[in-house]
Amino acid sequence: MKIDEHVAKAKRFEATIQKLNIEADYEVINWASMHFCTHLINGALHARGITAEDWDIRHTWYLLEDYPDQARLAAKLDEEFHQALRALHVFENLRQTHVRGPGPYGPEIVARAKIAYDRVKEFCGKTLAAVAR
Amino acid sequence: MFARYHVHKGERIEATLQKLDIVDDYEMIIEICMLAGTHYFNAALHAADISHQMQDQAHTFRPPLEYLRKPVGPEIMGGAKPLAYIESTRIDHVRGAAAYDRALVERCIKSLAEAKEAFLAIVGSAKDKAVWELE
Repeated sequence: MKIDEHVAKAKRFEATIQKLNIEADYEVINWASMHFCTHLINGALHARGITAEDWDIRHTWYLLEDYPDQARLAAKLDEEFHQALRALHVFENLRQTHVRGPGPYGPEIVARAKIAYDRVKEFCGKTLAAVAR
Repeated sequence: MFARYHVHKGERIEATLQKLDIVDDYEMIIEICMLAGTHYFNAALHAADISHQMQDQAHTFRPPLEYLRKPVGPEIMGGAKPLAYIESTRIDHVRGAAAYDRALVERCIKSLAEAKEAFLAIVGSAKDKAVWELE
């Protein structure tokens, strides 16, 4: 998918999240946050020339395990990008425990999710802005 | 997870639909239909003793239904088919950039209702068990 299409989708997920309540709707907020982050990460991967626009990842492990040229990936992914991927992985992990599973939502999860969300948003925003210039 | 917890989770997730707009939030409407439907699916599988309550499906196809300890019959498929339809729309309309299709989103919402009716008919009173009862 094109970079601007990923950014547009991410903004749509973000707008949906703004309508919801953190206690009543945490399952949907977490799931939407995962999609928000995944679209931005895909945009950043394309922007950095790491993946082509016809090769999108659905989850972090698609990149870290299935990417055909792991040596090239290791050379292209810096620590900051890895941190952003780890932040996306927070939401991927929360699926099993709190969306598909019975995990009750609490302040620690809220705080961790916010840090992850903000990290991906900031990193991808910076990366995409650098390419736009 | 116990069948009754799946029903509880499904209903929680489904309740969020009331806050969303069919145009502005269609991606998450599709996802809610998938997530809630999957919870009801698991509730039915556990209630029918087709899967153990520690063995949940993430989707109709994952893990493959062939892994289940009993074959899935027509009653379950009555719910699984509309749920599978919802799943099929995600790649293009949630993850992808396909053009907005209101009829498709409405069909997802209708498919959730069909799946829920089929699955909860199988769950029956299993969703009402008091939490202190031993399984």
